[in-house]
Amino acid sequence: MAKNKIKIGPAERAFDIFNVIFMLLLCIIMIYPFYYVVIASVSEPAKLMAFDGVLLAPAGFSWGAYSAVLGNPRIWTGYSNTIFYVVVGTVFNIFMTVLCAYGLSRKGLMFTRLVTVMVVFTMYFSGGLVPSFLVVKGLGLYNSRLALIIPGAISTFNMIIMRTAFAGVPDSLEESARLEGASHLQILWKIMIPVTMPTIAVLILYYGVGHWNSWFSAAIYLRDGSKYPLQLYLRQILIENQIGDMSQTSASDDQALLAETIKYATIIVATVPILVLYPFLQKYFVKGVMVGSLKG
Amino acid sequence: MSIKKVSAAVLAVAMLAAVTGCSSPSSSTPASSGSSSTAPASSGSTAPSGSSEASSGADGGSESVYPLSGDRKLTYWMGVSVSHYNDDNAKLPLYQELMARTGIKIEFQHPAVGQEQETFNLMLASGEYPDIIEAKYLPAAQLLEDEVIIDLTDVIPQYAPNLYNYLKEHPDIDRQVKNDDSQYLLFPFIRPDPVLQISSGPIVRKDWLDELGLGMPETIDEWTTMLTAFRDQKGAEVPLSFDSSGNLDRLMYAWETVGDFLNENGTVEYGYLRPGYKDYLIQMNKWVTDGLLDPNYPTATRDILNTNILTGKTGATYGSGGSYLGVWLTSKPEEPATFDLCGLKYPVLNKGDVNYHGSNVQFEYSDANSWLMISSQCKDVEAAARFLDYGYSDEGHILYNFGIEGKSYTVENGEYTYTDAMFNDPEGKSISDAMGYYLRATGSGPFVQDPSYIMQYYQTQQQKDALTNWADQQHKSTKMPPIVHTTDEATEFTNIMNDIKTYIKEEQVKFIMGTRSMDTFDDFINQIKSMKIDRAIEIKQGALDRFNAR
Repeated sequence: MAKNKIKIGPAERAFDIFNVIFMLLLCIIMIYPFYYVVIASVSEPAKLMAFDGVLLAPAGFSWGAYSAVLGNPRIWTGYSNTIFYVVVGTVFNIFMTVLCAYGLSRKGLMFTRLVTVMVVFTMYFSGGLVPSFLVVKGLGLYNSRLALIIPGAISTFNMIIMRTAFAGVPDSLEESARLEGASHLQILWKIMIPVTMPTIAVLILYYGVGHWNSWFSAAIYLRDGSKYPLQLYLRQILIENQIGDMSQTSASDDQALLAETIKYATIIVATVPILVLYPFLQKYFVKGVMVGSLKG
Repeated sequence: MSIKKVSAAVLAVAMLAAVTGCSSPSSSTPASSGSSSTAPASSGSTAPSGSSEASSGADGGSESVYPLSGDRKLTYWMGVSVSHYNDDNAKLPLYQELMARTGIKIEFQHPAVGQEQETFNLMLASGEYPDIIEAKYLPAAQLLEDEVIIDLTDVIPQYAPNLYNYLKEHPDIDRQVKNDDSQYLLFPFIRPDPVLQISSGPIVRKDWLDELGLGMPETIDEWTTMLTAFRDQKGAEVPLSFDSSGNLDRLMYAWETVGDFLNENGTVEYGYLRPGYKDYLIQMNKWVTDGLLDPNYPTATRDILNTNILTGKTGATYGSGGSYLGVWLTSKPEEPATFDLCGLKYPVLNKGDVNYHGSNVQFEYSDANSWLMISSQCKDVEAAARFLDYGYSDEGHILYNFGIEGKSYTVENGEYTYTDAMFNDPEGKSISDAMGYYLRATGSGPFVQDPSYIMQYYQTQQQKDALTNWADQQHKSTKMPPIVHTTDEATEFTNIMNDIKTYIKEEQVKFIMGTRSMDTFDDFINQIKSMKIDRAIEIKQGALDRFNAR
């Protein structure tokens, strides 16, 4: 044992061992449900149904649930719609949020306080479903893809985060740019956005995941199934399977049995693609907010 | 800078994906619609339409000659889903055929599945209604009052001769379809045969019964013998088991009571207040104590019940012919190879007794199935009525129940048989999905359901036998008919019953588990009485009297 190492007494050792075991158990408790979903989704429905105890490996092996979910042509329509909503929606969200936040973060803008109060007001009070619906319908957005993008263009909460980030940028950065003769647009584009990139990355994630998961406004504002996002289709698959279950007259063929594993395959299909987004944004979280912006 | 490029690139890819993604389903639909588009030409305009004129002409009333003349268009709000693989019912062969035969073009409006109620309310708020509304559980009386739908009392005799004649021939059903003011508000879905009304009953391990030489148990005592044998000789841990949907209470019928309101020759009674209820609790408590009844029955999930049945922990339960019995038979375990299930008649107390409530028989009309209304904004009421009435004509009956000849059914000696394509879909669709393309017998709609549908729909002999077993049983009709409460009544009734139901549910479990002594049973009954059960019975009685007076 090296001399300069701190000696570990038996009590501490016991604590460490216990600690590791405890944490491992905790991890297993957290991870098992996810693991279960994965292995259940590739199990044979009949075997899964008859299985008794804790499932550690797939009960039988079958891609049946996946081929049923992915073989449904509506899934692919849903996927492409969702990608459209996520990409276009998020770009639009970020654009609008940044513009609004930049304006409100500038000192000396007229009525800043009043506008801020009005904006924050909407965080606590909303008009309710029916008035929102009537507004969207009145604007001619009903049954249009834009109904999922325009009404929620700015999330107040995210806008305030963005404003705070802009306000936190040292004035000297802006002043030096002004001395060089930069306009507001140039300051926003060349200085503010690069400096606050980590915040923007977080907002991209918030908005992107929000669009990915959203189904309610689609259910309310869209009539054509061809415009539905993925989540609404998946919800439909799950509910229809349940209805078949409850109607008591569902047929007893192998396809109907699949309902058992379809719900798990659906969860995988719905979550895996958005998980892919995280690693790409990871680097912005690791870097400090102000890294590289100021020297000396 | 790079962000801009990246986002532009991603956008471009997304657009591309959207375009290609959109084109793939449309390229797959012609395959199905292409095959169906030939159907209207072959079967729509030739032989069958001739017979429809003959049949509807013979019915009397104002005859409907299909297809209707002129350019008729209707909008149709579809509150129920017909086929899982489909966004627009107008693309289904069934509706293409219907449109071709009736000469009416239908534009469907589909709410998102699971959001029907919400979407419907928003539609009302927006003030624009479609011509036809199909839904379940909507308060028709309220909708009439709010002038969302129209009163069909004069419309049905005038424009819906097929339905009108059917209701005239079946006064019992007519009474269920009318409201208390003898108005028609809707086009009903009708299940005329007991095998269609019944879908569930007791289920047992047939192979165990055979092996133990027990025969089919009929009385509660024979059930006890059977369950004891399952426990001792077959090693069943919980011989009798249920999932948490409350099916245990079905056994209550043996003691001449029901876990609900019942109609004893025109007098409403509350089943839990009948004397038999105490004996039922005593027997169930005994079964739990003897290890015959699963003590987990109030919380067991469907998954647990599945496992219990398939692994031989349980030998007897209650369930439906389709999603219980059918699923278990399909997922039959490898061990033992003899694994088999059958449907049992409901038990009675003494041999030869008539079962008090019988096999969960429902009425021919029920608002749990979808029905159709015509909205107040419908400009062409005649077309809407005639379109809906088509389902009650002879030819429409075949179309809604069996679909299109050669595609979904064939006829031999007057018997309609589904084609093999319905049961073994080439694309791997389930039976109900495959049928959903051509017919609506698997669900509900504006027609009279045909009993031969279910016998073909059920795939195994055990299911068919179970259904006849459950349906054949003699029983007294103590079920409440489809009565209607006024809005005020409904509110008061719900307030009273919510408390009472919760109380009974909690205490019943205590009695059966033995944590509450049977000596306190009288206190239990008095407690229910003090919760204004009399007022609830009075409300039900009033509604039943109005129903009987229709």
